[in-house]
Amino acid sequence: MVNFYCPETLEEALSVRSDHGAVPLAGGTDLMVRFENWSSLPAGIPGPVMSVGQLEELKYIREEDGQLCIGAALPLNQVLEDQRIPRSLAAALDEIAAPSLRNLATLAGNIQNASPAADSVPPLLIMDARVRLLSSAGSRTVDMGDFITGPGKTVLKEDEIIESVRIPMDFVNKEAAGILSYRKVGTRKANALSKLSVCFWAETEKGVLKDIRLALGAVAATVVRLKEACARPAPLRRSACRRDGPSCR
Amino acid sequence: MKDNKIEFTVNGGKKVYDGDPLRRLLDVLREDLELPGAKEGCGEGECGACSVLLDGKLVNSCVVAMGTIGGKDVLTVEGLKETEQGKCIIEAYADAGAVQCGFCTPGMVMASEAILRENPEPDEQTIRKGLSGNLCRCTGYDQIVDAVKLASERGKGLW
Repeated sequence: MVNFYCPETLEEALSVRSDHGAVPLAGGTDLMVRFENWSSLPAGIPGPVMSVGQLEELKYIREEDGQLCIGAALPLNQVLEDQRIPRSLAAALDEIAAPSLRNLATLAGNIQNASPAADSVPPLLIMDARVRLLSSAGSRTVDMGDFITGPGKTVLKEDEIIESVRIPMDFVNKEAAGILSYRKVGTRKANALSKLSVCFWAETEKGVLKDIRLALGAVAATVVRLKEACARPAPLRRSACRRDGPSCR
Repeated sequence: MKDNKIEFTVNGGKKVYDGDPLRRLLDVLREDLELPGAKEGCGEGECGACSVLLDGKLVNSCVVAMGTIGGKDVLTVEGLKETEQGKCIIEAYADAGAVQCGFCTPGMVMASEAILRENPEPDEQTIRKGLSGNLCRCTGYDQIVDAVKLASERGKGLW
Protein backbone atom coordinates (compact mmCIF):
# COMPACT_ATOMS: atom_id res chain seq x y z
CA MET A 1 0.00 0.00 0.00
CA VAL A 2 1.42 3.42 -0.93
CA ASN A 3 1.69 6.17 1.63
CA PHE A 4 -1.39 8.33 1.23
CA TYR A 5 -1.76 11.79 2.72
CA CYS A 6 -4.87 13.88 3.13
CA PRO A 7 -3.62 17.27 4.37
CA GLU A 8 -6.16 19.68 5.84
CA THR A 9 -4.37 22.90 4.97
CA LEU A 10 -2.30 24.19 2.10
CA GLU A 11 0.66 24.65 4.44
CA GLU A 12 0.46 21.01 5.50
CA ALA A 13 0.18 19.97 1.84
CA LEU A 14 3.36 21.87 0.96
CA SER A 15 5.33 20.19 3.72
CA VAL A 16 4.05 16.74 2.69
CA ARG A 17 5.08 17.60 -0.86
CA SER A 18 8.59 18.70 0.13
CA ASP A 19 9.17 15.99 2.77
CA HIS A 20 7.80 13.03 0.83
CA GLY A 21 7.48 14.19 -2.81
CA ALA A 22 3.87 12.97 -2.73
CA VAL A 23 2.03 13.18 -6.06
CA PRO A 24 -0.92 15.59 -5.85
CA LEU A 25 -4.21 13.81 -6.66
CA ALA A 26 -7.29 15.97 -7.25
CA GLY A 27 -10.16 14.42 -9.24
CA GLY A 28 -8.19 11.35 -10.30
CA THR A 29 -9.57 11.39 -13.83
CA ASP A 30 -6.08 11.13 -15.32
CA LEU A 31 -4.01 9.43 -12.59
CA MET A 32 -6.57 6.76 -11.66
CA VAL A 33 -6.88 5.84 -15.34
CA ARG A 34 -3.19 5.97 -16.22
CA PHE A 35 -2.36 3.71 -13.28
CA GLU A 36 -5.49 1.60 -13.55
CA ASN A 37 -4.98 -1.93 -12.26
CA TRP A 38 -6.86 -5.14 -12.87
CA SER A 39 -10.51 -4.76 -11.97
CA SER A 40 -11.11 -4.60 -8.20
CA LEU A 41 -7.43 -3.94 -7.40
CA PRO A 42 -6.22 -0.54 -6.12
CA ALA A 43 -4.78 1.85 -8.69
CA GLY A 44 -1.03 1.43 -9.06
CA ILE A 45 0.11 5.04 -8.68
CA PRO A 46 3.78 4.63 -7.73
CA GLY A 47 5.16 6.37 -4.67
CA PRO A 48 3.40 8.50 -2.08
CA VAL A 49 0.14 10.20 -3.04
CA MET A 50 -1.50 13.28 -1.57
CA SER A 51 -5.17 14.18 -1.95
CA VAL A 52 -5.59 17.91 -2.74
CA GLY A 53 -9.27 18.12 -3.70
CA GLN A 54 -10.25 18.84 -0.08
CA LEU A 55 -8.03 21.94 0.22
CA GLU A 56 -10.51 24.82 0.49
CA GLU A 57 -7.68 27.32 -0.01
CA LEU A 58 -7.33 26.08 -3.57
CA LYS A 59 -11.05 26.29 -4.41
CA TYR A 60 -11.66 29.85 -5.44
CA ILE A 61 -12.01 32.24 -8.32
CA ARG A 62 -11.04 35.83 -7.61
CA GLU A 63 -9.53 38.93 -9.12
CA GLU A 64 -6.07 39.68 -7.80
CA ASP A 65 -3.29 41.98 -9.08
CA GLY A 66 -4.99 42.51 -12.43
CA GLN A 67 -5.48 38.79 -12.97
CA LEU A 68 -8.43 36.45 -12.75
CA CYS A 69 -7.14 33.62 -10.56
CA ILE A 70 -8.64 30.15 -10.71
CA GLY A 71 -7.72 27.92 -7.75
CA ALA A 72 -6.11 24.59 -8.59
CA ALA A 73 -8.59 22.33 -6.79
CA LEU A 74 -11.79 23.73 -8.30
CA PRO A 75 -13.60 21.12 -10.43
CA LEU A 76 -14.04 22.11 -14.09
CA ASN A 77 -17.83 22.35 -13.81
CA GLN A 78 -17.51 24.97 -11.08
CA VAL A 79 -15.05 26.93 -13.20
CA LEU A 80 -17.39 26.63 -16.16
CA GLU A 81 -20.41 27.89 -14.19
CA ASP A 82 -18.60 31.06 -13.10
CA GLN A 83 -19.71 33.98 -15.26
CA ARG A 84 -16.41 35.81 -14.78
CA ILE A 85 -14.29 33.38 -16.80
CA PRO A 86 -13.52 34.26 -20.44
CA ARG A 87 -15.91 32.77 -23.03
CA SER A 88 -13.00 31.15 -24.88
CA LEU A 89 -12.14 29.12 -21.79
CA ALA A 90 -15.80 28.31 -21.13
CA ALA A 91 -16.23 27.07 -24.71
CA ALA A 92 -13.27 24.71 -24.31
CA LEU A 93 -14.19 23.43 -20.84
CA ASP A 94 -17.75 22.75 -21.96
CA GLU A 95 -16.44 20.21 -24.46
CA ILE A 96 -14.06 18.41 -22.10
CA ALA A 97 -15.26 14.84 -21.42
CA ALA A 98 -18.79 14.74 -19.95
CA PRO A 99 -20.51 16.31 -16.90
CA SER A 100 -19.58 13.45 -14.55
CA LEU A 101 -15.85 13.77 -15.26
CA ARG A 102 -16.01 17.57 -15.15
CA ASN A 103 -17.35 17.28 -11.60
CA LEU A 104 -14.02 15.68 -10.65
CA ALA A 105 -11.37 16.99 -13.04
CA THR A 106 -9.54 20.27 -12.43
CA LEU A 107 -7.89 22.90 -14.60
CA ALA A 108 -4.57 22.36 -12.82
CA GLY A 109 -4.82 18.63 -13.48
CA ASN A 110 -5.50 19.15 -17.16
CA ILE A 111 -2.40 21.35 -17.40
CA GLN A 112 -0.10 19.15 -15.31
CA ASN A 113 -1.18 16.07 -17.30
CA ALA A 114 0.36 17.98 -20.22
CA SER A 115 -1.38 16.12 -23.00
CA PRO A 116 -0.70 17.54 -26.48
CA ALA A 117 -4.49 17.37 -26.86
CA ALA A 118 -5.36 19.06 -23.55
CA ASP A 119 -8.48 21.11 -24.28
CA SER A 120 -8.03 23.82 -21.68
CA VAL A 121 -4.59 24.75 -22.95
CA PRO A 122 -5.34 26.48 -26.32
CA PRO A 123 -7.55 29.19 -24.74
CA LEU A 124 -5.11 29.60 -21.83
CA LEU A 125 -2.27 30.11 -24.31
CA ILE A 126 -4.04 32.76 -26.37
CA MET A 127 -4.94 34.75 -23.27
CA ASP A 128 -1.33 34.72 -22.00
CA ALA A 129 -2.35 32.87 -18.83
CA ARG A 130 0.23 32.10 -16.16
CA VAL A 131 0.57 29.28 -13.67
CA ARG A 132 1.36 30.04 -10.02
CA LEU A 133 3.44 27.38 -8.30
CA LEU A 134 3.93 27.06 -4.57
CA SER A 135 6.46 25.24 -2.42
CA SER A 136 7.47 25.50 1.23
CA ALA A 137 10.36 27.64 0.02
CA GLY A 138 8.24 30.19 -1.82
CA SER A 139 6.29 30.79 -4.99
CA ARG A 140 6.93 31.47 -8.65
CA THR A 141 4.74 32.25 -11.61
CA VAL A 142 5.40 30.69 -15.00
CA ASP A 143 3.95 31.60 -18.40
CA MET A 144 1.57 28.96 -19.68
CA GLY A 145 3.72 28.63 -22.81
CA ASP A 146 6.78 27.76 -20.71
CA PHE A 147 5.03 25.51 -18.21
CA ILE A 148 4.44 22.55 -20.50
CA THR A 149 7.66 21.32 -22.11
CA GLY A 150 6.58 18.10 -23.83
CA PRO A 151 4.02 15.30 -23.77
CA GLY A 152 3.36 14.66 -20.06
CA LYS A 153 6.21 16.99 -19.09
CA THR A 154 6.04 20.26 -17.19
CA VAL A 155 8.47 22.42 -15.22
CA LEU A 156 6.74 21.55 -11.92
CA LYS A 157 9.42 20.63 -9.39
CA GLU A 158 9.27 17.72 -6.93
CA ASP A 159 8.43 20.03 -4.03
CA GLU A 160 5.94 22.27 -5.84
CA ILE A 161 2.22 22.21 -6.38
CA ILE A 162 0.07 24.26 -8.74
CA GLU A 163 -1.72 26.93 -6.74
CA SER A 164 -3.75 28.65 -9.45
CA VAL A 165 -4.07 29.52 -13.09
CA ARG A 166 -4.02 33.27 -13.71
CA ILE A 167 -5.59 35.07 -16.63
CA PRO A 168 -4.74 38.72 -17.33
CA MET A 169 -7.82 40.92 -16.67
CA ASP A 170 -6.71 42.86 -19.73
CA PHE A 171 -7.84 39.98 -21.88
CA VAL A 172 -10.89 39.15 -19.76
CA ASN A 173 -12.13 42.72 -20.20
CA LYS A 174 -11.58 43.01 -23.93
CA GLU A 175 -12.50 39.48 -24.99
CA ALA A 176 -16.16 40.27 -25.67
CA ALA A 177 -15.23 43.04 -28.11
CA GLY A 178 -13.26 40.71 -30.36
CA ILE A 179 -14.01 37.78 -32.64
CA LEU A 180 -13.83 34.39 -30.95
CA SER A 181 -13.92 30.96 -32.45
CA TYR A 182 -13.32 27.64 -30.74
CA ARG A 183 -13.65 24.30 -32.51
CA LYS A 184 -12.85 20.83 -31.30
CA VAL A 185 -12.80 17.82 -33.60
CA GLY A 186 -13.22 14.44 -31.94
CA THR A 187 -14.75 11.10 -32.85
CA ARG A 188 -17.88 11.97 -30.92
CA LYS A 189 -19.27 14.93 -29.03
CA ALA A 190 -18.66 13.74 -25.45
CA ASN A 191 -15.74 11.90 -23.85
CA ALA A 192 -13.63 12.05 -27.00
CA LEU A 193 -10.01 13.14 -27.15
CA SER A 194 -9.35 16.02 -29.50
CA LYS A 195 -8.00 15.09 -32.90
CA LEU A 196 -7.65 18.81 -33.45
CA SER A 197 -8.68 21.84 -31.47
CA VAL A 198 -8.48 25.45 -32.59
CA CYS A 199 -8.86 28.54 -30.46
CA PHE A 200 -8.90 31.86 -32.29
CA TRP A 201 -9.44 35.38 -31.07
CA ALA A 202 -8.78 38.77 -32.67
CA GLU A 203 -9.71 42.38 -32.30
CA THR A 204 -11.25 44.09 -35.29
CA GLU A 205 -10.83 47.67 -36.33
CA LYS A 206 -12.41 49.01 -39.50
CA GLY A 207 -12.41 45.62 -41.16
CA VAL A 208 -8.87 44.76 -40.14
CA LEU A 209 -7.95 42.01 -37.70
CA LYS A 210 -5.47 43.13 -35.05
CA ASP A 211 -3.92 41.38 -32.09
CA ILE A 212 -4.62 38.02 -33.71
CA ARG A 213 -4.26 35.07 -31.36
CA LEU A 214 -4.37 31.46 -32.50
CA ALA A 215 -3.54 28.21 -30.74
CA LEU A 216 -3.80 24.63 -31.97
CA GLY A 217 -4.19 21.48 -29.92
CA ALA A 218 -3.27 17.89 -30.84
CA VAL A 219 -0.96 18.90 -33.70
CA ALA A 220 2.48 18.75 -32.04
CA ALA A 221 4.29 17.55 -28.92
CA THR A 222 2.59 20.31 -26.97
CA VAL A 223 -0.33 22.60 -27.66
CA VAL A 224 1.14 25.40 -29.78
CA ARG A 225 0.43 29.08 -30.13
CA LEU A 226 1.10 30.40 -33.62
CA LYS A 227 2.72 33.75 -33.01
CA GLU A 228 4.52 34.26 -36.32
CA ALA A 229 1.46 33.54 -38.42
CA CYS A 230 -0.46 36.12 -36.41
CA ALA A 231 2.22 38.80 -36.29
CA ARG A 232 0.72 41.18 -38.86
CA PRO A 233 -2.76 42.70 -39.00
CA ALA A 234 -4.91 41.05 -41.66
CA PRO A 235 -7.96 42.25 -43.56
CA LEU A 236 -11.17 40.53 -42.45
CA ARG A 237 -12.84 38.83 -45.40
CA ARG A 238 -16.25 37.41 -44.65
CA SER A 239 -15.93 34.97 -47.54
CA ALA A 240 -13.00 33.38 -45.75
CA CYS A 241 -15.23 32.43 -42.85
CA ARG A 242 -17.07 29.16 -42.80
CA ARG A 243 -20.70 30.15 -42.74
CA ASP A 244 -21.76 27.18 -40.65
CA GLY A 245 -19.12 27.82 -38.00
CA PRO A 246 -20.64 28.12 -34.53
CA SER A 247 -19.14 31.44 -33.58
CA CYS A 248 -18.22 33.11 -36.85
CA ARG A 249 -19.66 36.55 -37.38
CA MET B 1 -1.52 13.09 9.29
CA LYS B 2 -1.05 9.84 7.41
CA ASP B 3 -4.37 8.41 8.48
CA ASN B 4 -5.94 5.81 6.27
CA LYS B 5 -9.26 5.63 8.12
CA ILE B 6 -11.91 7.21 5.94
CA GLU B 7 -15.38 8.15 7.16
CA PHE B 8 -18.12 8.79 4.64
CA THR B 9 -21.81 8.11 4.13
CA VAL B 10 -23.49 5.84 1.60
CA ASN B 11 -27.24 6.22 0.99
CA GLY B 12 -27.54 8.01 4.32
CA GLY B 13 -25.66 5.41 6.39
CA LYS B 14 -22.30 6.14 8.04
CA LYS B 15 -19.37 4.01 6.86
CA VAL B 16 -15.77 3.70 7.96
CA TYR B 17 -13.21 2.45 5.46
CA ASP B 18 -9.83 1.26 6.60
CA GLY B 19 -8.29 -0.22 3.46
CA ASP B 20 -6.04 0.89 0.62
CA PRO B 21 -6.76 4.59 -0.15
CA LEU B 22 -6.14 3.93 -3.85
CA ARG B 23 -8.96 1.43 -4.13
CA ARG B 24 -11.77 2.70 -6.30
CA LEU B 25 -15.08 3.77 -4.79
CA LEU B 26 -16.73 1.47 -7.35
CA ASP B 27 -15.02 -1.63 -5.94
CA VAL B 28 -15.77 -0.71 -2.33
CA LEU B 29 -19.45 -0.19 -3.17
CA ARG B 30 -19.75 -3.47 -5.03
CA GLU B 31 -17.50 -5.75 -2.98
CA ASP B 32 -17.37 -4.41 0.59
CA LEU B 33 -20.81 -2.82 0.82
CA GLU B 34 -22.59 -5.30 -1.45
CA LEU B 35 -24.20 -2.58 -3.52
CA PRO B 36 -23.87 -3.94 -7.06
CA GLY B 37 -26.00 -1.26 -8.73
CA ALA B 38 -23.02 0.68 -10.05
CA LYS B 39 -21.42 -1.38 -12.82
CA GLU B 40 -17.91 -1.53 -14.22
CA GLY B 41 -18.02 -0.96 -17.96
CA CYS B 42 -14.82 0.63 -19.19
CA GLY B 43 -13.07 1.34 -15.88
CA GLU B 44 -11.74 4.64 -17.20
CA GLY B 45 -14.56 7.13 -16.81
CA GLU B 46 -15.80 6.89 -20.38
CA CYS B 47 -19.02 4.87 -20.19
CA GLY B 48 -20.89 6.08 -17.10
CA ALA B 49 -22.08 2.62 -15.98
CA CYS B 50 -20.51 3.28 -12.57
CA SER B 51 -22.14 6.70 -12.08
CA VAL B 52 -23.09 7.70 -8.53
CA LEU B 53 -23.76 11.05 -6.87
CA LEU B 54 -20.90 12.32 -4.70
CA ASP B 55 -22.04 15.25 -2.54
CA GLY B 56 -24.92 15.60 -4.97
CA LYS B 57 -22.75 15.72 -8.10
CA LEU B 58 -22.66 13.03 -10.77
CA VAL B 59 -19.26 11.27 -10.86
CA ASN B 60 -17.73 8.11 -12.31
CA SER B 61 -17.01 5.95 -9.26
CA CYS B 62 -14.36 3.99 -11.19
CA VAL B 63 -11.94 6.94 -11.09
CA VAL B 64 -12.67 8.03 -7.51
CA ALA B 65 -9.96 6.95 -5.06
CA MET B 66 -11.24 6.03 -1.59
CA GLY B 67 -8.62 8.32 -0.04
CA THR B 68 -10.32 11.37 -1.57
CA ILE B 69 -13.88 10.90 -0.26
CA GLY B 70 -13.47 11.48 3.50
CA GLY B 71 -16.55 13.27 4.87
CA LYS B 72 -18.43 13.00 1.59
CA ASP B 73 -21.87 11.67 0.86
CA VAL B 74 -22.40 8.93 -1.73
CA LEU B 75 -25.78 8.17 -3.29
CA THR B 76 -26.12 5.00 -5.38
CA VAL B 77 -29.08 3.69 -7.33
CA GLU B 78 -29.94 1.46 -4.35
CA GLY B 79 -30.44 4.58 -2.22
CA LEU B 80 -32.15 6.57 -4.96
CA LYS B 81 -34.75 3.88 -5.63
CA GLU B 82 -36.15 4.31 -2.11
CA THR B 83 -36.93 7.99 -2.72
CA GLU B 84 -39.97 9.48 -4.47
CA GLN B 85 -37.68 10.93 -7.13
CA GLY B 86 -36.03 7.56 -7.71
CA LYS B 87 -39.36 5.76 -8.00
CA CYS B 88 -40.58 8.35 -10.47
CA ILE B 89 -37.49 7.97 -12.68
CA ILE B 90 -37.51 4.18 -12.54
CA GLU B 91 -41.22 3.97 -13.47
CA ALA B 92 -40.65 6.40 -16.31
CA TYR B 93 -37.77 4.22 -17.59
CA ALA B 94 -40.03 1.16 -17.55
CA ASP B 95 -42.94 2.93 -19.23
CA ALA B 96 -40.79 4.59 -21.90
CA GLY B 97 -39.10 1.32 -22.84
CA ALA B 98 -35.74 2.76 -21.82
CA VAL B 99 -34.37 -0.52 -20.44
CA GLN B 100 -33.14 -3.31 -22.68
CA CYS B 101 -30.15 -5.28 -21.39
CA GLY B 102 -30.09 -3.08 -18.30
CA PHE B 103 -26.32 -2.77 -17.83
CA CYS B 104 -26.23 0.98 -18.37
CA THR B 105 -29.51 1.61 -16.53
CA PRO B 106 -28.27 2.30 -12.97
CA GLY B 107 -25.79 4.85 -14.33
CA MET B 108 -28.41 6.37 -16.64
CA VAL B 109 -30.86 6.65 -13.73
CA MET B 110 -28.24 8.45 -11.61
CA ALA B 111 -27.46 10.80 -14.51
CA SER B 112 -31.20 11.43 -14.92
CA GLU B 113 -31.49 12.33 -11.24
CA ALA B 114 -28.54 14.72 -11.62
CA ILE B 115 -30.18 16.37 -14.65
CA LEU B 116 -33.54 16.80 -12.89
CA ARG B 117 -31.96 18.14 -9.69
CA GLU B 118 -30.26 20.84 -11.70
CA ASN B 119 -33.22 21.55 -13.95
CA PRO B 120 -36.63 20.01 -13.12
CA GLU B 121 -37.94 20.84 -16.59
CA PRO B 122 -35.03 20.13 -18.93
CA ASP B 123 -35.37 20.49 -22.70
CA GLU B 124 -34.14 17.74 -25.00
CA GLN B 125 -30.74 19.36 -25.53
CA THR B 126 -30.17 19.61 -21.76
CA ILE B 127 -31.17 15.97 -21.30
CA ARG B 128 -28.87 14.74 -24.07
CA LYS B 129 -25.99 16.80 -22.69
CA GLY B 130 -26.65 15.48 -19.20
CA LEU B 131 -26.60 11.89 -20.47
CA SER B 132 -23.62 12.42 -22.76
CA GLY B 133 -21.19 10.61 -20.44
CA ASN B 134 -23.35 7.49 -20.29
CA LEU B 135 -23.15 4.91 -23.06
CA CYS B 136 -26.00 2.58 -24.03
CA ARG B 137 -25.46 0.00 -26.75
CA CYS B 138 -29.08 -1.21 -26.94
CA THR B 139 -31.67 1.54 -27.02
CA GLY B 140 -30.20 4.14 -29.35
CA TYR B 141 -30.87 6.64 -26.52
CA ASP B 142 -34.22 8.00 -27.74
CA GLN B 143 -36.26 5.99 -25.23
CA ILE B 144 -33.92 7.08 -22.42
CA VAL B 145 -34.36 10.72 -23.38
CA ASP B 146 -38.14 10.10 -23.47
CA ALA B 147 -37.95 8.55 -19.99
CA VAL B 148 -36.29 11.65 -18.54
CA LYS B 149 -38.95 13.86 -20.17
CA LEU B 150 -41.67 11.59 -18.79
CA ALA B 151 -40.17 11.67 -15.29
CA SER B 152 -39.97 15.44 -15.49
CA GLU B 153 -43.67 15.70 -16.47
CA ARG B 154 -44.93 13.17 -13.93
CA GLY B 155 -42.71 14.34 -11.12
CA LYS B 156 -43.64 18.02 -11.09
CA GLY B 157 -42.69 19.47 -7.71
CA LEU B 158 -40.43 16.55 -6.78
CA TRP B 159 -37.18 18.25 -7.79
